[in-house]
Amino acid sequence: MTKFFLILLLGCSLFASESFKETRYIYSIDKEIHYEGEITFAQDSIKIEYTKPTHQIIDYSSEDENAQKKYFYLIVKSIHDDNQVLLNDFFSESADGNATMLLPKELLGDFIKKVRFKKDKNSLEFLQIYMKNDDWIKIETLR
Amino acid sequence: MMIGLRLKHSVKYLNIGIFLILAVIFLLLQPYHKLSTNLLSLLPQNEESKLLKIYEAFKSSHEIIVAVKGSDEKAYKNIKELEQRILANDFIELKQNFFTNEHLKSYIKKYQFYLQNFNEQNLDETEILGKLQKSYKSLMTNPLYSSVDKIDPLKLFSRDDIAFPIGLKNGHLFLDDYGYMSIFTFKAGTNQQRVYNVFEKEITPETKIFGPLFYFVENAAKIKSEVNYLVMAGMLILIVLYFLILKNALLLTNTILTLLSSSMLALIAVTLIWDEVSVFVLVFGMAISTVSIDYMFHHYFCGFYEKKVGFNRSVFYGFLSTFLAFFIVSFVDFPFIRQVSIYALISLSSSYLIFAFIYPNLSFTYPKTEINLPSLNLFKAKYYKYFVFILIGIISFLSVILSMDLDIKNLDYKNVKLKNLEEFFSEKLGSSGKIPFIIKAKSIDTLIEKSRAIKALHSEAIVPLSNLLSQEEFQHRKEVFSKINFLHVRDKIVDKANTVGFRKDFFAHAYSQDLLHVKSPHYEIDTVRQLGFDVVSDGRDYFTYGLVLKDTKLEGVYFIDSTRLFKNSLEAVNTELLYCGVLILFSILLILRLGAKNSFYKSLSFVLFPLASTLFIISFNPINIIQIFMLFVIVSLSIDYGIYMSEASISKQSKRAILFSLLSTFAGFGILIFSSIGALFYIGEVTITGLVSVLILLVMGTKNEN
Repeated sequence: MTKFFLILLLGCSLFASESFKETRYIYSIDKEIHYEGEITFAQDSIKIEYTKPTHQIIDYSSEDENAQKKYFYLIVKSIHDDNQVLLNDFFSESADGNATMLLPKELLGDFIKKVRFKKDKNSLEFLQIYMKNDDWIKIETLR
Repeated sequence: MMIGLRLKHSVKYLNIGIFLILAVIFLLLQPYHKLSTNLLSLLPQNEESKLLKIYEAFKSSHEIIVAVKGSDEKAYKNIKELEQRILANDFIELKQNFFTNEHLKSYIKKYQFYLQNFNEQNLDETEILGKLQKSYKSLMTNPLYSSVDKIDPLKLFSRDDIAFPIGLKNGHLFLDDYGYMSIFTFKAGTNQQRVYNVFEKEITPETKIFGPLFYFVENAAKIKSEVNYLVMAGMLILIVLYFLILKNALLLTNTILTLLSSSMLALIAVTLIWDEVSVFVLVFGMAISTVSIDYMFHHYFCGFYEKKVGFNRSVFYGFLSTFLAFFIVSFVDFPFIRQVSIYALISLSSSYLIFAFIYPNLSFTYPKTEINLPSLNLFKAKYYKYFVFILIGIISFLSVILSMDLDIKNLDYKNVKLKNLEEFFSEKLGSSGKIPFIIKAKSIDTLIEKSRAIKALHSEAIVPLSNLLSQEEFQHRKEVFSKINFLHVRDKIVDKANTVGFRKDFFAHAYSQDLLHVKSPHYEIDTVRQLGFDVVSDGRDYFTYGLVLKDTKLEGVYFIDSTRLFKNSLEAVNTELLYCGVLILFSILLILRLGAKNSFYKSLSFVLFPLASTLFIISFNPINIIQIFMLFVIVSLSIDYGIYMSEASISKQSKRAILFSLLSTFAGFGILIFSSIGALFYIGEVTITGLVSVLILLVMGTKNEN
């Protein structure tokens, strides 16, 4: 019985969805756009359900055809899972105040300038991706 | 008198002297370095075989693919650690892929307007405004992040969807339904065994590793070990035969020295003529040695070494007929056939001269052996005539119905493990069912044009160089661009973008003149290689490769198909082989007529019966070049037996000589029937059938006639 509850608890923590707010700065139009929704991490995918301004669901996985979606998945999933092997492969890591700064190595360097994130214990507080074209995306979890 | 005695005394050491001199030359010249286990060395050096070698020089032929099972973090970690271990060897490099090759990336960026499809469309103000508004709306409302291309905001250029057989997972090459994959290459000139050793120790049930060099290393090792085994087995059998039956250590030592001398001399000569000699020539050479042992046995058993009884006519005729057969065949314009013939001529002549003229001076005592073959006396002398005609009928019939096996790969070691691995990777990488071909051109630019033309006609073909821009297409696209006022288009975009809501001057570099009026591409072999493409040059022409579905009709390319190459080469010498066969037949008949006056048909049946039986056994499947050549060896052996058996007065000794010759040949080569290498198996198969036939004739034939 104890085992069952443990497994249930683990399952809940793995697949539990978290509320978030996203701020997106688009350089070409010099505007910030705001979204809200729920993010769910599964074994091999991430599901983002936007609730504001409109309702829309987007799934991300490592096998996406779209390169940008693929890289977004790679970054968010590695940081969420604390996958040091992947992070070390694609980024060089350094401290930036009380957050962590990731500078991309060759492959991601074509699209991304840097990534900043902060985790409180095991949960993500915020994640900010700075794109090469001067856009940036900031995701903050809401508690 | 004293000089005469000294000369006589020194002749005793002549055999050892010849051996020592040849051994020194052999060690100095090291002809064994020219022995090749590559089946290509069997083929004539023509334009097609040259292309086959060029294909082997492509970098992709040096690739080694590693796949680690699994898609989880552990599998990812495993492949990364494996990469690190392998790259610790400075002669191995990780193949740069499309995504990480900086040269290719900047090439694509520079020629982006030329490499992509150009969708010429209406460029009036309303159209421009509509497109910009659409982009703006998407940025504002689409939760899936996207950006606007400031160089091509109207999406006039588009890329063809490229179906990559290899996907990416976590930024690493990934094979569908299997796991992570890495591709390695090694520096030119690196010892292949060294490369093999690095990868071989990484193989586990979860890690599959394959590269064409695996065939080369594993098959060569297998062939070499079996050839070594053959040499050792031959020697061992000789030692056993001599010690247990003949009990003559001096004869044993001398015979081994003579055979070694003849083999060394033949190998030195052949490697002086040709730069690359197939290892199978050496195997045949060993088979030929058994013919020369025959000369020794016959002299010995007939008492020629005990007391000088003059010149042995039978052995001379036996030698002459074999010599003539190989001499005639040596005119066939096919390197393997020529190499074997020259080897046989030199080895047989050397052995014959030593056995016939030096050995009688060494005074070997004739052994008192009681071993005799039983004679069933089933054949009366007069029946041999009819027997010969029946045999001629059978041989003629079999020759007509026989078909040729021209697949050179059937002669190689059947490396099932590697075949399965190759099939696994071919299937996963989308090259299954495709055959490689070579494109040849006078310039790299023409090579690119040809590659693009093939790709345009056969979309399923893999032609790497078709991804580059040819001069012709560059000029054509440039002409198209010259008709459009892109500066005007850009100004309209900048103007309208402002009204839509885009940042001021965000599109100031749209359809940039720098990209539209870029310098035409100029290709050198090194720059193309830096871009990650395989091009080789022989100084006159340039070559690249592609893969196309089997049975595709393609003009102006060379298919890389060793079977077809082997077939074409053999067909080219078909008529020559036929003429040689007829000539050899006549020379055998002539020599038997001269050498076996008393019992011509009996002697002839000793040649024809083994030939007919062997042809019968091998006719169940298509026959190959090795079997044909072994038929020559069997005929050479049986001519000797035929001539010896015609000697009416010393038939008992002749039979004994034949028996020992059969035993040594049988034990040395018959055992090869258990070999897993095609070529060696066929040698064993033909030898056993031929020898059993001779044995049957010996036992069933007439008793001593006189």
